[in-house]
Amino acid sequence: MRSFRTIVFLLLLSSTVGVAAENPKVSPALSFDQTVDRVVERERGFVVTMKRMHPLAETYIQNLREDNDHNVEPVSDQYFLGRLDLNHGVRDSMFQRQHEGFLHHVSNPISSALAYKFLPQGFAQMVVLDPDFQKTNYHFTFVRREFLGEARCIVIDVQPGKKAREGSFTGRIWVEDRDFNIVRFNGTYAGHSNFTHYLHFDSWRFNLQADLWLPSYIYVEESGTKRNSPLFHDLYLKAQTRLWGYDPEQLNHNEEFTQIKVDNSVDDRPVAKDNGPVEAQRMWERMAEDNAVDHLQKIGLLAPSGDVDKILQTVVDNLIITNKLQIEPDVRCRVLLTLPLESFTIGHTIVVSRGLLDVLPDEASLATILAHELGHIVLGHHVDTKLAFDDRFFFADADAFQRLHFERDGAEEKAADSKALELLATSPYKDKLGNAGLFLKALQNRGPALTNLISPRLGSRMASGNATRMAALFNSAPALEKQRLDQIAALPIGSRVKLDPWSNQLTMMNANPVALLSPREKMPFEVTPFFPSLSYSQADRKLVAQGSVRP
Amino acid sequence: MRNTMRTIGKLCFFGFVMVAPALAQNQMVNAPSPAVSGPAYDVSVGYSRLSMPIASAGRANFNGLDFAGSIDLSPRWGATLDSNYLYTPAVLDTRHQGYVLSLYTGPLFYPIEHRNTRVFVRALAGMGLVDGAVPITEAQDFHGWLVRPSYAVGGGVEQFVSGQLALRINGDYLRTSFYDAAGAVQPQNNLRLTLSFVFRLKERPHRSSAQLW
Repeated sequence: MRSFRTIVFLLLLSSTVGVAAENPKVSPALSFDQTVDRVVERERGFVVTMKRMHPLAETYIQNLREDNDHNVEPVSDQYFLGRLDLNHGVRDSMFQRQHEGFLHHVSNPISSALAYKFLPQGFAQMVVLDPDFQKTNYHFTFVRREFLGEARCIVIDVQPGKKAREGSFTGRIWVEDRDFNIVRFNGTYAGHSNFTHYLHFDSWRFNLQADLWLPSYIYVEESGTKRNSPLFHDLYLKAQTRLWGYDPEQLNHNEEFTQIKVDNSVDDRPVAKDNGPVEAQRMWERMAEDNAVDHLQKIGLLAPSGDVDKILQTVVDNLIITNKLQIEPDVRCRVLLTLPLESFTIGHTIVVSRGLLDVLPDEASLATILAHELGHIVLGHHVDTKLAFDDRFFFADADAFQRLHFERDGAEEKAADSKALELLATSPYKDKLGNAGLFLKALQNRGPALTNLISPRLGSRMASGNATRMAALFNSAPALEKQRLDQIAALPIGSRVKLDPWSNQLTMMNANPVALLSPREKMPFEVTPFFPSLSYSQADRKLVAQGSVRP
Repeated sequence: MRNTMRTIGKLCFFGFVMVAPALAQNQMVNAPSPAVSGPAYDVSVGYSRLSMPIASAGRANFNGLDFAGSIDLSPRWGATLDSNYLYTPAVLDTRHQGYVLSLYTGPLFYPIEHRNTRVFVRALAGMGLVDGAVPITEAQDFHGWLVRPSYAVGGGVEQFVSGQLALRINGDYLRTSFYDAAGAVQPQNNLRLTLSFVFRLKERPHRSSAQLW
């Protein structure tokens, strides 16, 4: 049987020889055995490369439960954010405290003993197929050829051999046929212990630089078999891990030393302009704001200015212009790259999290979020000027959530809510606010289960208990009807924006609009699988055009 | 001599507890990190046989049932609650029946786990009720019962036969108390062997078909 598959594989390879003659990057026909040799060699090289990389890894887990009507809903969640380090096994320097203290275990001995514990490094581990990938440890079976977007792939089943160690990968790999990089692997690690578990995962790599395919997305899913019995409970969950912040220059800010930009060599401002006390105060506050924004961008938590900021800026401008507001200095918009739903202001910079942008159903809902933050700015809720001193940022990246706080107190939040309603009342969004209220209702509905999703890391809480932001909008919204297909109160996670894991740039997703077939497909705030369309990096395309062939 | 043997036994036990984690760690060093840990708990029922010394008369054998439950608190540590009822229709040459009822709890340590097999050692403490008899003369014997704090140390092996079912064999040294022929309370050094069926209350992850290669 295997020899038959090998023959089919060779025939398929030989059929591509014509294409290879035209394209200098396509490798000459290789036997399946030679192909596997190249794959193993490339994968070993990948592990070495990954040891030099320290991306941020964000994992979000939703525990699920199926009710008697077979509706599946998240019942709890978990969130990890850390910087990956593969130098000494898989390690994560976490941005938040991971372990409950001793007192928690003492006060909740039963729940403490009976609860599953998610281990961040176990999710981060899924970026690597096998840290010591050896051909002799596995059996490889050719399956077929398949396109994953632009990348033409050889699909191979990989199973550990008899003498493979515990924890060897078992599943399927997709290998792009230009350079034999693994671009996707789907399966689990074989073996187990009584107390610890490996999960099933689907790990994707993107071609982020010339000849460099790096882990970007991982989807994890486990479906328990006896979900309704408290005694026979089993793992039933979905999770996503996203990686970004690979560009080491961005992390070190080295380019700023080597790139000196001179915008205008002649100072053409009128002479003798002194800064008065008010102006000095504004400049001081702007400095604090800039320091904070720069630092968040440097450590990979804030996206560099880009297309998505411009969309936010347009909505903010709509609010400013229609309300005839004069705001000095200008209001800016930026996107926090993390998932938890939050928005906040740093001085005159409005920050919205990627997760929040992802789940907002329409522009009016976005306007509502931005109007609330604009309310803080209009009301003069200022930035903490201690951030004007650079030494305030001399701390480890992982301490950012502990050291930086942009949350507002209850009175300021209430005032911003009132101001936002005023701003929206005279804006182009005034007749479309029903969906914004519905979004808040959906948030309140799912809030108790998804505590980690709605817990802000830097800003203020959007919903807490029965209260949400903008209570007036909440109260005036129509009732939430889960079975109505045309009522979309919130989108699944990952619906709006696309993240470039190398540069941290965000772009809007270019997905086709899809008609929902059943209420199950609404999936508000839920984790869904990834199915990205792979493409070769621009640098790789240039190499193809120049006809260069890599060894 | 007896004390020396006991000291050597204790030293061996503690040496094993200290060295085993290092050996186990070495075995795991290259394995990928798991993504989830815990919880794991099981109940077991089994057959036990106990050999009990009767003061100045030899050893009596008891047979009975063992019921236990355990929970794993980490990959290496767990806790157990063990109850045991052992019976003999006649204690040595006396005409008296005897039984031992014990209830213990304590920590479990798993020094080695490989595929479907794991080894454990444990140290338990609790109460032991001994109902027995001691021959005084050929025609007379002393009969009674005694409840005293008691302890046990031992270990065993578990072999999983399916997702939820395992076989466990373990041996324990039990320290109980009973009267001697003079009516004084004396400690007893018992040996107990147990064979149990273990039923896990959470399905153990399926063994991958890949491992059948």
